Amino acid sequence: MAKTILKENLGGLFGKLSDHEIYGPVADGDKMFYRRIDEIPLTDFGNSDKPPKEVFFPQTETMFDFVPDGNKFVDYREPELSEKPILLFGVRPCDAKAMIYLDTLFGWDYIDPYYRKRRERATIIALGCDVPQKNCFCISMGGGPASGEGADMLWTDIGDRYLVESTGEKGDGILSAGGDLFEDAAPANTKAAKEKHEAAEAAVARSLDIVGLPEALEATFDSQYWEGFSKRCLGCGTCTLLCPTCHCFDINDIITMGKGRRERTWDSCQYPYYTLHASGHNPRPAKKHRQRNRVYHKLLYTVRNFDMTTCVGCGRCINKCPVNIDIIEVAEGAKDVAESAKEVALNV
Amino acid sequence: MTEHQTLEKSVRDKAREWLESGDLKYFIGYDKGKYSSKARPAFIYNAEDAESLVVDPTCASNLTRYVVDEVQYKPGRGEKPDTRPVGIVVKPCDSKTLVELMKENILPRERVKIIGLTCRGIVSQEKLEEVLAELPGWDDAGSEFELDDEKLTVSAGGKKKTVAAAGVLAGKCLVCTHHNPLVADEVFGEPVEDPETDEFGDTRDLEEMSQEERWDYWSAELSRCVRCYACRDACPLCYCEQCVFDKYKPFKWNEFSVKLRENLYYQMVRAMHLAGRCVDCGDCERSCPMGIPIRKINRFLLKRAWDRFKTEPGVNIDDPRMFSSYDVGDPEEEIL
Repeated sequence: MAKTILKENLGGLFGKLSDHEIYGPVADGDKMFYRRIDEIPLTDFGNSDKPPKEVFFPQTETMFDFVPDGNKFVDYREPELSEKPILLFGVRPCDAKAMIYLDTLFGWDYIDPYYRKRRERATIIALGCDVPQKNCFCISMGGGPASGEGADMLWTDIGDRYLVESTGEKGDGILSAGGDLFEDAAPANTKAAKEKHEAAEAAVARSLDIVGLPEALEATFDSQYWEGFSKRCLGCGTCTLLCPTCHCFDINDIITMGKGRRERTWDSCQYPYYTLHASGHNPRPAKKHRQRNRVYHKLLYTVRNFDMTTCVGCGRCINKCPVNIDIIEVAEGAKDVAESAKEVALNV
Repeated sequence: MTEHQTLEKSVRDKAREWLESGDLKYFIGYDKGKYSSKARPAFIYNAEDAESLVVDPTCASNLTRYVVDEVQYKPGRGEKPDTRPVGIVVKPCDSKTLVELMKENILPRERVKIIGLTCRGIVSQEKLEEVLAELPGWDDAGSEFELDDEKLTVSAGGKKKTVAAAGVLAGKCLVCTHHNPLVADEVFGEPVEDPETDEFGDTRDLEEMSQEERWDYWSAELSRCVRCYACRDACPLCYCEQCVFDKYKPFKWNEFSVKLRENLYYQMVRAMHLAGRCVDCGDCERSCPMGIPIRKINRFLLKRAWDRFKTEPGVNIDDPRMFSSYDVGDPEEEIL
């Protein structure tokens, strides 16, 4: 049964959830982030500049502190993580879908305790998109502006209130905590939400046909194609750092004044040092190899390993690239290359 | 034909002529993608592809960065070095970085053939987005831009809109004092009159702040930094083959940790390395995904170089370099 909540009651709901650590969208300068909030969060926004993955997987985090003694540690101490439940409010459907991938990855061959400890305590409230941005293509990636996939609740803005749908136990927990702040939805509310959803879906302007794409990517591994567009790549790695599913990190020991801490920080496959071996050999020496890896990771490797694309169609890599590398154009180009190679092979 | 179309044709014809003659390795210019009206860097190897080159007010990238890639390229085993010149199209601000690269002996003059364009400025993507929010489709491929001294006209999907140029020009263009290329083999475009002096009026707001206010300002701005180093990667004058921030040996100079202290340290070191060299092409700020006003630092670097040593980087190839020249009259208050 769908519920509604008046917009003015959002503060009241957060008050009732005061045992939670509440994270929500906030503006910083003219950029947007998901951070701890005490006040009413932004609700009128396109999407954040930095994806909400940093709530569970911060860009920099201390794994443990230690006191070094030669090659050994003495006095090893893990950080105390809070036990409080987390409420992550206002995540867009594409970023909520990205959480499914991150959950899969961080619980795959090795269960990442840092991510897990935060994620298990968290309830995610997705906020349906009213106005998709110009480079959004979530529908092609199996999501949509009104999809609640990956979230525990989906809220839809219907004027003076939100239509609230829970998709599981955690969502029901928020409903019962909110108590009488949530009212049963009238048929008119459900209808208004449906109209909003349809309008938003129609407004998603861009698309990428992924049928046959993994095969096309496999066929173009050695193609000169990858050199063409990646010659203009700056190698800044913005496309990966700001991707909601990119999850690579680098681990460093920082030792000063006899005290050490082991820290992990987001890393990117776009940096030459990411794959540099101790021998001096680099298996991905050029930008073409690194760009190819990014596209393969998003659209091929995880399709093979987990049966899902790692790209959720949020469009951040397209919006943020300083030299306009467009993942849709790149993937379509690879398809064309594979197609013409096939034709050549058939004619011979 | 509009002025931009005339310019575009001249650039295409010249690039084709150079490529046909065979003494050019490739040509670096701008083209447009399948889906966006924003110009992007393009590498043209064949004369017939010169048709895809464009010139318009969205040509924002400083392409000279790719010339540095070219001269620093190390041929693989068995690969014959190809030292033919590359062709490039530059705006006046980009031509200043070429001058600076030549002054610093990074770029031999014979390795590059330059088309210089006179310039009335380029548009800032963010400002354009704000102004043109109500003109749907302006960012799709096929939109056209026409800029003169007063206004920018955008045509998209059969609709046309005119906005005041000052409202959409990139910040660097509003304080630009060089509208004509400073080094070029060919110059296209009508000469544009330069304002007489740079008053550095845009640095006043920061200068008038107290030390605490300035600290708060930069702390707020730099706490957003994600340390992608796009500002470094976009900068044609950040040409070290190994950046100090990527070095592990003999030790790591800074931490990878993304936090205010390290972000500040990074940006300070970057500024010190560019003092007296930075020509304020603005590509660092344009490339920053977090909207950090890096150019404000660059403007201070320029202002200090001018106030103290009466030198302006990137203007004259025969000028002495600020850091490697000495005059007994040099002020000494900056010596630590």
